Formats: sequence, structure tokens, C-alpha cells
Amino acid sequence: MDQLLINPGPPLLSILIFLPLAGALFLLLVNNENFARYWTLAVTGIAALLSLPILTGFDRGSAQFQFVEKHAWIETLNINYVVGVDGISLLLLLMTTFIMPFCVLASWTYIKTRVQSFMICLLIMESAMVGVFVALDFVLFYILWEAMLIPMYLLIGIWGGPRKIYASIKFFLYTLAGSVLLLVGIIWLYITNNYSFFIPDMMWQHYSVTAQVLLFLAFFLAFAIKVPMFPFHTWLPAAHVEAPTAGSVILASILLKMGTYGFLRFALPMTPEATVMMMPYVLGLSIAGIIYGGFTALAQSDMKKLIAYSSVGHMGFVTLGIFVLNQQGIEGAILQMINHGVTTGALFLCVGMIYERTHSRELLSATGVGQYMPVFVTFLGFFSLSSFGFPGTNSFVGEFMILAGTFEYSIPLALAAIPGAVLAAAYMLRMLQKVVWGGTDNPDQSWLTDLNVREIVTLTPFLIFVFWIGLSPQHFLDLMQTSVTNLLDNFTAYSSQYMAAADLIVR
Amino acid sequence: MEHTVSYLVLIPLLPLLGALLMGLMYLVSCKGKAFPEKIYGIIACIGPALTFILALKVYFGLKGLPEDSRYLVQDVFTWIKVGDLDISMGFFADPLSSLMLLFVTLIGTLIHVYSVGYMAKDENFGKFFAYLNLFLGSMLILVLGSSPVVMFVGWEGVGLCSYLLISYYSTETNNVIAGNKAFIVNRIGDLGFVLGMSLLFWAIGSGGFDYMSLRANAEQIGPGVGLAICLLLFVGATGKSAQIPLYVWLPDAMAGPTPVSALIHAATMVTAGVYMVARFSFIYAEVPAAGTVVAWIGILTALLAAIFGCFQRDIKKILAYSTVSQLGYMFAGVGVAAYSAGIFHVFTHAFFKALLFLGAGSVIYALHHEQDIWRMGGLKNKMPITYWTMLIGCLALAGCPPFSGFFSKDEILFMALASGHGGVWLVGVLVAAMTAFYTFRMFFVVFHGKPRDEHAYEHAHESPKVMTVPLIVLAVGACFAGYLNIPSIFGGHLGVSHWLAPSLTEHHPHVSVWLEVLAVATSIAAFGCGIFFAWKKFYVATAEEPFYTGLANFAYNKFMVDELYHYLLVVPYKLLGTAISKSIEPFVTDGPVKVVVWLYGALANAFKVVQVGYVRVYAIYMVIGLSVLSIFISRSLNL
Repeated sequence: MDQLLINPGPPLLSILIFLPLAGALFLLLVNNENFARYWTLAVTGIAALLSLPILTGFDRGSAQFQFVEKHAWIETLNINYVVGVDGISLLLLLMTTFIMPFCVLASWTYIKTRVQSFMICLLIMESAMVGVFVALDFVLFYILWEAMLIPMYLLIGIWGGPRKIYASIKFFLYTLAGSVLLLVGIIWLYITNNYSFFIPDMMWQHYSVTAQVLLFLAFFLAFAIKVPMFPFHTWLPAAHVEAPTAGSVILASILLKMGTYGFLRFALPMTPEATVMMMPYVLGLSIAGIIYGGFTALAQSDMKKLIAYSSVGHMGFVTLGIFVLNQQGIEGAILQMINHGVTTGALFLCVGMIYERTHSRELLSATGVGQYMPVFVTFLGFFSLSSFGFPGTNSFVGEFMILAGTFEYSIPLALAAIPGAVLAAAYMLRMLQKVVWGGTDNPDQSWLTDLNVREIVTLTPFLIFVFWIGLSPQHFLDLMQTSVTNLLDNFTAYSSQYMAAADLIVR
Repeated sequence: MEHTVSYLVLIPLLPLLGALLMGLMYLVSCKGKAFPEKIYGIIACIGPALTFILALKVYFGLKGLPEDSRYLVQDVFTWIKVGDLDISMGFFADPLSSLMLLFVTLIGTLIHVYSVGYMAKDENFGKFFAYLNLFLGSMLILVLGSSPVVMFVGWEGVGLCSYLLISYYSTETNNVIAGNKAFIVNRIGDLGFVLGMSLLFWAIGSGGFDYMSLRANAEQIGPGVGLAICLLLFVGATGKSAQIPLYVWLPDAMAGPTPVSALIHAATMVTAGVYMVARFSFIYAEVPAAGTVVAWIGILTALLAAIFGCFQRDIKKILAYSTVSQLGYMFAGVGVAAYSAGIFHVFTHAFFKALLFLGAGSVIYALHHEQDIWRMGGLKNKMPITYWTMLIGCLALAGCPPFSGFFSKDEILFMALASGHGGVWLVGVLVAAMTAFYTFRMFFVVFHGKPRDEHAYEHAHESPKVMTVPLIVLAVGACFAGYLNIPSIFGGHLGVSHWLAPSLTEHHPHVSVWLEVLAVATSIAAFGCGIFFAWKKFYVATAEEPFYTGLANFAYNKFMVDELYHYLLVVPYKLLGTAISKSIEPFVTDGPVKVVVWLYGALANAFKVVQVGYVRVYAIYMVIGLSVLSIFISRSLNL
């Protein structure tokens, strides 16, 4: 168990998992909408604060899992409750706890019906998401992975837009179908690894190549749908368009990251040979996603759809970075996961703020808003810049690192990815042109009020992170460096061993 | 270490802080009562003025160092450090950047002052100056960046400000579209820059990615890779500096306020491409083939823009095409490896072109936003200061000795001839004649002859001091900037070229004096021809706009290049986007999903047939079931 580091002190990770759940249980007893809002804000806020000691106590020089807790759960099947974080999951965990309070703030007036139930869904969602990022037991992981779907399904299905039923069912079934094979894979791994579900023990084992390929395909289906990679993305625009603002933010910022997190946590360490074999195809799909997402976003007239398709392109960059399998690429990809969470989350918040006023997500009905909402437009402008990778903002650093990594792997591939940047500028500028500037023949927007204090408070932290990561990414990269180096070292060691073995057989 | 200083970062930081402060002030006050213009004006001008002082400090600091190690550096913090990739947010000043610094900050300051007058009573006064300060800060990052990546921050930053300021009068949809066009065309160029940068990193980046290390390691670049790097970087330059084929955004950019056209789209930002080529002279000098491409693209752009310039009727568009044309000269200069000549033309051009734009702004201001030269005329007596300063600007642009443009343009043409690029030189001389022609066509029509619009003429007046003083200062610059680099044939000693020498990789060819005399003589003759035809045709009081037919009409319509791009590039892109989202996305990509859903439905329907809901049918099922069961039981019990 040398991969584990059990830190002294309170069981922080368990608190982070169970605190929101307890908060949700308490809300069941409450019948006061306003209290529900403040209560949820307080619970998510406390969870965010409690995640800070994990950051400060995290030993960035170690690639071990830290803050580990281990308890027996179902002993007959050797299922344990094991949680822990390493450099790959730490930032994602922190992003989850920090985005949740802002989702509550964004829903403050947006959600008018069944407020308690909505808040309960948010809290259960948080428990499940935190759990997915820290679970070290495959059963625990799988249960939470599927458990996330239910509150999200309800968020879309109850508080969503006009086609909410279609969107929620498509979201639920599509992602559920993807993870069925994952379960098969897990059971195979369980049997192969002496009836243990312990994730770190499953890594860097010498499974046969056929088994690896099959396992990789099972992983790939589950994770690629979640990311979503082209061509498995069609559930995303529907879900985004119909989801309430908080739902869109959670979906874009956190849920999509679980797919890419899955690749890093499971696919690379458990099926390295299959990863190397499948790498060209995954890279091809990533490029296709970047270009396809960009072109599709260019043609959208619905702001949420536009941002949803832009997500397909941005997540294409992330998978590109992961599968070029070098330091720049993977660190860039992890950073870009955070960046996408910050930027796209903020963009969905912005669209939600317009929607709350005009009750339309159409670009045309928002034309000329800029004149009456200068503060809003300033925020929107900065987030749009970040979205197309403007130097000085967060996405530039991430995309630049990914491209540098891609260049090292293959120049033509990098060339293919770069037009994505022009497309990104084109569709974001098109949105800005329509929304912000507008022409002389606008709908009358003079009755619009600019952002209120709550909304400014909601958006400002996102803006701070846009520039913090953009100008000083080193703070963030330091946290992941050791873990990524370790991952790659293991990977090369494993492949060279495999190559040597293959050599012997050939001789 | 004597080369490490702590004040370089202040140079871009001061205007950036000004931008932040004014931006916040504007946001806070935009709902209620705006802050008085005076406060904005003072904050706006103070940053640029201080940067000019710092630029002087940099200049004298460099001058105090021995010639072969003239540079100052400041590393502020480590920006990105992963594997081989190690980029620090650092600044670097050498003679080349100090020259750029000096004129950017000087002209920047003057244009800020001028704008206080020009933009008076604009409802978004604060926003304008926030953008303008942001621009200056970005431009200074571009000039001072210690590595290509930091330069790229400024490079994109100036592009953003250009976009924001072109779209400034945002109630006109066309202005916003012009802004988008500028940004997207620039973005296409930036791809080249990013690719060139990445290739450079791939080739020699592991030895450090700041300019000093790059220059030291430049020899390790193979010729093929070197050519690719040069051409890709040049693609970036064609975007930012409006060269063929990406020049189309600059004329449209004139939609912005006139001081913006002067500062961004004439004097500073658009010359960034030339600066970049000169900055990378250590690579370009090794790849003459790349230089030839640069020179020919440059001189052909100069020719094309000069042709368009002869037919325009919007005063700002005439100047815009003249800018494109002069930028072409600069690229011809750096293309024939005469980097110092190219940069010197950047320097003098900044003065006279800023002067011309501000003068044009003064005219536009006086005529209440009239920009059509065929509705002007006879303004000489109404606006004497504008008239005389504009005359100096026009003479400098047309290349009349001894004004500044003459020396810098002549140096480029001479170097083209001396380095064996006879064709470039010949086209250059032709363009010089055309330049004189269209410049004075504009000048005579605007200031001489009879007023073509009596009403506007009656109300015309000289601009306030806050606008005319910058004009006068710039006119002095346009007169005398050329004396900083007088060639030996006129008894000078090429001061600027010597100052720049440590930054550039440049070889001065040795040629006979007669060749130089020939070059000078043809330049003067070209200028004479051009101005003579303009005088002949447009000096007369009754000159009217000619009616264009045939080729002239084709040129008047700018050879339909914009339309060509629209139908060849923009429309297909949009169609592709629509096609994907309307047909491919729902039917092809989502198709399998829909098929699966349909299959499940079909299966369910198939089973539904037996679930009819009548008791009698279920009774039959029961009978059938019971009989099957009884047969089964009887068989298994062997009865």
C-alpha cells in the first residue's frame, strides 16, 4: 500500500462527501424556500472552505494518494470505502467544491418553483461529484458515477426548458448506456486482481493485450460519452439548452471533466498498451471534435447551444492533450479541464442572466443589450476572450501547452488542431457582435437592468481565476507536476518493459 | 548585473493601470452621472507621458553601455514551466526596441492629447481612453517582450484593442462587422505566427526561448526549417501589417474614431509585422529566399494599394491605402535584408502618417464628420494650421526632399537596387510616383479649388489648440526625423542604422557612389512626375470627380477583392457550419442514436401486438398455455 498516504487530522474527504448529503437530508424537514436558499449556500460554502485544508496540507512533492481513508464496507465481496486525492484529482475536487456555492447563487431567483427540492438535488449532486473524484474503490466509484445521473436528470427534467423531458431522457439513457460496459470491465478487473476492487492495485498490471483492448473500449465508451467526444456528443446540446443555469454550469464545469478524468485515472494506467494502440484514433476524434464543434457553433442562433458546441471543441483539446502522452500535453490538459470549467461555467452563468431578463436564449433577441448592461457586457467580453484562448487568460496557457505537447508528438496533428483557434474567435465574436454591440434595428432593450450585486459577486471569482491561471499558471501546475511525471514515468517504464518482452518473443 | 534593471516592466504597466482605473471608473459611473472629462483626460495622458520619460531613460541607459552589449533585461516572474517549455514573463530592451519605444510613446502621448479635444462630448469618453491606454500598454508589451510568447501577448492585445476601437461607434452595424473582420483576418495571420513560433520552439527552443538564446542558437536551424519558420512568421506579419493577401481589413478599420486610425492603424500597431521581421533578422538573414518572398509581397502590396489609393474618395480610406502601400515599402526593405532601412521607414512613417491622419481628423471635425473629399475644397484659408501641417505631411509621404519620408524611402529603394533586387526597385520607383500623385490629388481637392459644399464650408473652422499643438509637434517630426539617418552621399553618417546595428543581423553591401546617385535621382524624378500630374489635373478650381469606366472603375471598386473573399471564403464557411448543424448533426452524427431508439420502439411495438387488452384474447392465451403445460407435464411424467 505504498501508494497511499494517510494524513493525520479529521477525515476531510469524507466530510466533503457527507456534509452536503447531510445538508440535503436536513432540507427534507424544511418548508421555507428562503431558508432553503441560505442553508444550501451555507452548506456549499462550508464545504468549499473545508476543502482548503486539503490544498494546504497536500504534499506536492509526492505522487501518492493523500488524505486517504479506508473502511471496510461489504466484507464478503471485499468492497471497501477508500478515498484519497492525488495531483490529478486535487484541482478537480477543489473546482467542484468552489463552483457549487456560485451555482446556488445563480439559482437564487432563477428557480421559483420547488426550491427545496432543487437545492436537495444540488447538494446530492455535490456529494456524488466529490465522491467520484476521490473514490479509490471501483465499486464506490461506479455507484457514485451512476448516482450523479439522478439529480442531474431531475434538474433538467423538472426545472428545465420546454423540451426538458426529451433532453433529460436523452441525457440519462445515453450516458447510462455508455457505462454499462464499464461495469463489465470492473467485474473482470475484480476477478483478475484476486477479487479486489482497490483501484491503485489495478494499475500497471500486465493484462494480456486482448484484455486490455477490450477493457479500453469499455472505458472509452463510458468516458467518451461523458467528455463528450465527437461523435458521442449529441446529448450535450440538448441537455445544456434545456437545463436551468445551475444545471448547465455543473454539467459543463464538472460533469464533463469526469470523462477526461476517467481517461487519466483508469485508461492510461490500467490499459497502457491498448492506449498506445488506440491513441491515433482517439487523437483523430479529438481533432474532428475541435473542428466539428467549431463549425457547428458558428451556425447556432441559440446562445446556450453555441456554448455547448464550443465545449465539444474545447474538450477535444483536452483529449488531444491527454493522448499525446507527454508532460506538456497532459499537464496542459488538466489545466485546460479547470480552465474550461471556469470559463464555460461563467459563460453559462452569463447566458442565464440574460435569460432571466429576456426569457430567450436567441442571439437576435439579445441584440443591443450592451448599451444598457455595460457591466454585464464587460464580464461577457472577458469570458469570451478566455474562451477563444486570448493570451493572458487561462485558456491560452492550457491550449498553448497542449499544442506544444502535440507539436512534440506530431507536427501535422498540431497543424490540424490550430484552425480550431480561428473558428473559436469567429463564433465567439459573432456572439459578441450580436449581443454586445448590435445594430440600429434592435429590439427595445432600454428596460433592462444591469447586473445586481449578487450577480456581480457570482461572476467576479470566475474572472479572478481567468486571469490568475492566465498570468501565473505555475501555482496550479505545481500541484499536478509530480503526479503527472509519475504517471508518465510509469507509462514509459511499462512500455519499455513490454517492448523488451516483445523483443524476446520475436527472437 | 548591469544589464538587469527594474523599470522596464513599468513601461507597459503604467498605461495598463490607467486602462484598468478608467475602465472601472467608467463602469461605476455609466449608470449615473459620468465623471468629468477633465479627470479622464488627465489620467489618460499621464501614463503615456510617463512612459515616454521612461523610454528616454531606456535610451540613455543603453547609450551608456558598450556597443556590443547594449541590452537591458528584466524577468518579472516565471510564466509557464513544463518540461522543456520554460517561459518567463520578461522584458528586453535593445537599440531596436528602444527606437520603437521612443516613437511609440511620443506619438502615443501626442495622440492621447489630441483625442481629448477630438472626442470631447462623446458619451463614452471614459471607455474610449480606457481602450486607448490598453492599446498603448499592449503595444509596449509587444515591443518589449523578451520572448516570442510574451511578444504574442502584446500582439494579440493590440489586435483586441484595434477590434474594440474599430467597433467603437457600435450603433452602426457596419462598424461592428468591420471590427469583426479585422479581428478574424488578424486571427488567421496569428495562426502563422503561432505555427512559426511553435516550429522555432521545436527547432531550438530547448536552449531557452528568449531572444538572446534564440539568436545565439540560430545557427542550429536547418535551411528548410528556417525557411518554414520565416514564411510562417511572415504570414503573421501579413495579417497584422495588412499585406497581400490579408490587407483587406485595414481600409475597413477606418470606421473607428480618427485618432485611433492615426495611432493604431497607421503609426504603431500595423508596423508590428515589420518590427517582428527585424526582430527575427537573425533567422531571416540566413534564408535569402524568405527575404525575397517578403520583399516581393511587400512591393506588390505597395503597388496594389497605391492603385486603389488613386481612386478613393473617402479621405481616411485614401490615407489607409497609403498606409498599406508604405507598409509594403517597409517589407520590401526588410525583405532585401536592409532591416535598418525598413525600421527607419517605420520611424519616419509614424510621424508623417500620424500627422496626416490627425490633420484629416481636424478637417473631418471642422466639417462635422464629412469624409468625402469631393464634398470638400478651398479649406486652405479657413484652417491655416491644418493646411500647413498637412502640406508638410503630404510632402513627407510623397517623398519630397528634404522631408523625412524622402530619406527613409530612398534608403529602401537604394538598398533594393544595391542588393540586386532590380525588379523590386523598379516597381518601387513606380509606386513612389503614384504615391506623390494620390497624395497631392487628395491635398489639392481638399484644400484648394472652390468649396464643393458651401454650407459645410461656411461652418468650417480651425480646430482647438489641444488638437493643433500635436499637429505642429508631429509636423516638426515629419520635417526633421529624416536627418537622423542621412546617408553619406549627403554628407551624413546613417546615425539610426548605426544605432540599430547591434540588434540586427545585417550586411551593408559596398557599391559605387554612382549607383546611389542614380537611385536618388530616379526617386526625385518619380516624385516630380507624380506631383506634376496631380497638379495638372486637380489644382484647377473646378476639378470634379472623374467618371470612372473600364479598368479605372475596376480599380475604383478595389478589384472586387472583398467580394471575392466573401464568396470564396466567408460564404462557404458559413454554409459548411449551417450544413453541419442542420443536416449532418441531426441525421448523421445523431443518426445511430436515433436508429437505436427507433429499434427499441419497434421491438416494443412488436411485443405490444399480443397485449391487446381483451379478456377473451387473454382467455385463449390461458387455454393455450394450460394445454402446453399439461402436454409438458404428461410427457415428463411419462403418462
